Amino acid sequence: MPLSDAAKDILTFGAHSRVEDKRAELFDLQQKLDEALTERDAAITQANQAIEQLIAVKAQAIATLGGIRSISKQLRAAERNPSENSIATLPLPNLSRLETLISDGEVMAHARAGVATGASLAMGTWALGGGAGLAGAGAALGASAAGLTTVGGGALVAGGAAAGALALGSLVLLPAAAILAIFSHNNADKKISQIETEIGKALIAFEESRGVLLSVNNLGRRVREVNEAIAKASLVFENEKQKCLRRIYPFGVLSRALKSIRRFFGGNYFSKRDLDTLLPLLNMARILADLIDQKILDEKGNVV
Amino acid sequence: MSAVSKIGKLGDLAKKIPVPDVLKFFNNLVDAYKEGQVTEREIAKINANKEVMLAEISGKYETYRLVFNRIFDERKEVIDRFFDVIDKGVASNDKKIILGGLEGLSRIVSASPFANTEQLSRLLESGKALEI
Repeated sequence: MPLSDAAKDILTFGAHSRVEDKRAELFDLQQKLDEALTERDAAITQANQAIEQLIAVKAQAIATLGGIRSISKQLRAAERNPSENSIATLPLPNLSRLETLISDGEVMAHARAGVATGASLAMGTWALGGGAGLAGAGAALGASAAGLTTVGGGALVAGGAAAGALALGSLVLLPAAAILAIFSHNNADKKISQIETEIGKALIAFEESRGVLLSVNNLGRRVREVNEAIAKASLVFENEKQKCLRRIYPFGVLSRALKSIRRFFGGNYFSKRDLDTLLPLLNMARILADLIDQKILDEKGNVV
Repeated sequence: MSAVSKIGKLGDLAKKIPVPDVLKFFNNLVDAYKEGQVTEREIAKINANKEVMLAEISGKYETYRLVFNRIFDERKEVIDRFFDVIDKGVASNDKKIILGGLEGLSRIVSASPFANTEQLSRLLESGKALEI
């Protein structure tokens, strides 16, 4: 007949119940950890959705910005023409940067159209990396590939194992060794020591999951913030662009033809009035480009 | 069997066990009991440490969460204000106002919400009172 728990307890001076208590404690902690991991995974899903939305908004903004390319090209041609003095005096934004950004963005937008569902790593890199064009961002984020991993639908954020890379650097709390040291026994029996070690490991995992949750939540909020700003600026820019184009090309193709003829005979393509109309629009384009180019993850995979 | 006869039988049994072995048995029992007590105290100490650690992890996470919530809420307020400025500019067809609003928007978005994270972390580690 097996001995009852009470009998085991009496015979072992309470050692049996101590082991059972420890097992219950470990079970409670593991449940706590499971809840924390579920919360973390939900945050990762939300961040992924925000990133996918950001990719879509950026692609849309690039398309909106693309409409200014013909104007930008005319202006750049005019800049090279010494007879068009009026251009030199204008505080024009960096037009070649605008064009590079549009070209890179269009490559990504085409790539996006070719992907059936979710977002690819390259698109996520483009959306989060910012920096000097696609190549620069890709190289920078390539170094922190451990921090970027595919989760669920294929978008990228930190997985559980990549906590370090996406954690906010200095926010890492207690080192794992320090946690485990607390659970090292001198006198406890083997069973309790083993359970305590498991408790220590569960605590480390709990701590890591909290760190990742914090980082992923911050990433999600940062992405949504940039997202909203781009969407607003893009909408305003599109409206202003339409107004501006109606003003400088009131007769559509005919207006363009007239301007070309004027240039052909040595005149300026854009009149002074056109330039006055264009300048605010170009500055809006610069601001929109800055927003599109906003870096969200740095080279180490930290949210910035 | 009566209780008296049971005790009598135990007495007979005791006669058969050598005295030094009985003493050794009781000494072992006392040692095991003492060891149990030491283990009990050690477990209590470890439990206390674990509770402190759990509270520390949860507390720090909660503090960081609150601080970042506050930072993002404040930024959202400022961003919304710039959205209002832009909307006013669009409504009045004033490009200067629109540009001003967009410039402000770009400034706030380009400023990292985590610029002072290290400083904040050091402050939290120091245990000093934190004014949010």
